[in-house]
Amino acid sequence: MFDQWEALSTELRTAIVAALALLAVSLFLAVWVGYNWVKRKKMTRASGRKDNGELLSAEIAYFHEKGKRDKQEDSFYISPVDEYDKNGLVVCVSDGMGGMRFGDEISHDIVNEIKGMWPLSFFGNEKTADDIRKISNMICSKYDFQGGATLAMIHIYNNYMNIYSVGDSDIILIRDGQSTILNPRQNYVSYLVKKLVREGKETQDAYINSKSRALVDFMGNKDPRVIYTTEAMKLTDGDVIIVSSDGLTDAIPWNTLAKYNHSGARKIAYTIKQTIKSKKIPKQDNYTAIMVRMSRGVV
Amino acid sequence: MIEYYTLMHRGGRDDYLDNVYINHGEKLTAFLYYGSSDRTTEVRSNEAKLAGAVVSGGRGRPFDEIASDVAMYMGNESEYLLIRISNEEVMIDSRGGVYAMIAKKGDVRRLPNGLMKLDNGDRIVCGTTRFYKKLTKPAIYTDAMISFSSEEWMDFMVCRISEQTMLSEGNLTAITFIVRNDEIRIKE
Repeated sequence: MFDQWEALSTELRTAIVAALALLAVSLFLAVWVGYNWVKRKKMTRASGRKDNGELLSAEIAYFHEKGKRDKQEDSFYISPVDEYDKNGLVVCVSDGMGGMRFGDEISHDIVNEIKGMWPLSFFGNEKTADDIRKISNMICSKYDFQGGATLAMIHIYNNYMNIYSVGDSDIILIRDGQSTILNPRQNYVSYLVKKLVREGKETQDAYINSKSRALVDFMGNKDPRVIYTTEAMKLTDGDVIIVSSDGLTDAIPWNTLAKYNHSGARKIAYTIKQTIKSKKIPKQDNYTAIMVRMSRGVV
Repeated sequence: MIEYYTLMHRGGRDDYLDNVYINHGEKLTAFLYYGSSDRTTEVRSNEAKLAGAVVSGGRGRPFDEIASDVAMYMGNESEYLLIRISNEEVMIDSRGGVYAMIAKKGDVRRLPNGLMKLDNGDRIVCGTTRFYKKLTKPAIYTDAMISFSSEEWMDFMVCRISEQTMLSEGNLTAITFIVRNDEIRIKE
């Protein structure tokens, strides 16, 4: 065999070696391309999206301001932005219930627990909701209904978003010049509206009821209903998501927030914050908001 | 199995001029009449009743036949939606300001007239333009995806409308459907 190889001309031997090397490189490339194609297909199938091959970038800004309250009872969490590609982005706001003891401690405990859950599985939304319920039960045991808080949380991954909510903090989407509060408020109004609709009546009475804003579910309650999306929402270029305590929507009507949709998250946050400050509302609640602006481009 | 919930609300008006007729066959057929439409120049409740009778008595009849009979009774100006839905597919014939939307794969899309395949868990809402007027697509989608049932989905959407109109701006009519073909069957 070796003799036969030696008998070949140098040019022929070089050509054979080059051909074999080319074949090896081609095989490697084919395997590599195939592997990545399968991986991408799996990711696409898992997220349920048709792949256009582009991951939207997320620009984040926030404000965390004390209103006229004695204490800052809002807390918030933003997951590590350098893990956006791998694990997505989680942001949450927790608003301690005013007028009750331990509101500040409880909201702080909640965001710390959420932080401890990072990284969250985007597709394990049922488990995440269950974990949030466990946090509430833990708070219930620790504080024995002497305080509570809300929780509004989003998880963005691969251009899709899941929401989680307990209480009446807001997750607002600004898209195409319209703002939408995505999570229903778990307050007494919802119950009254439902009752009046069943009776075939109009619903003005639901809003003038003195207890209408009372929470029917909150973090710190035993086994609260955790509102969460079972199938994620698709995000598009230009979407702005605001996760906020109700100190924001009490000062600025939610349906006017679309006009603050500027080109960058920082500018949106700055303009909204200044607007609230300039209103000088005598009983201004604490106000915390995290703005996430989705856009095409590099993270 | 198709789970559904119907909203028929006067919306602060003296009369309820819309109507809904449902036939619970193996495939569910529903007829949603938009009698309170601003475009309707005269109340055609008699025509709607006749069309409704076609739907109610139409068990087992092909959808196209029912659709053509309904069209025969309804005037050219009438606005309505006829839908037949099963675990596998949905057929739609709508005219004017009544239409169906499907919440699926991250988005809400308007369903065109004709046939479309369905999957387990698909959520469809049919309603009048007055019902949709105060609802954005993201609102419809999120409400669909956070709800345990078709009734709860409707409640969430009605709550949004209520916040903006107190349900005082005219008749509201809609139906929510959820495809549920993951029923647990117990083997004897």
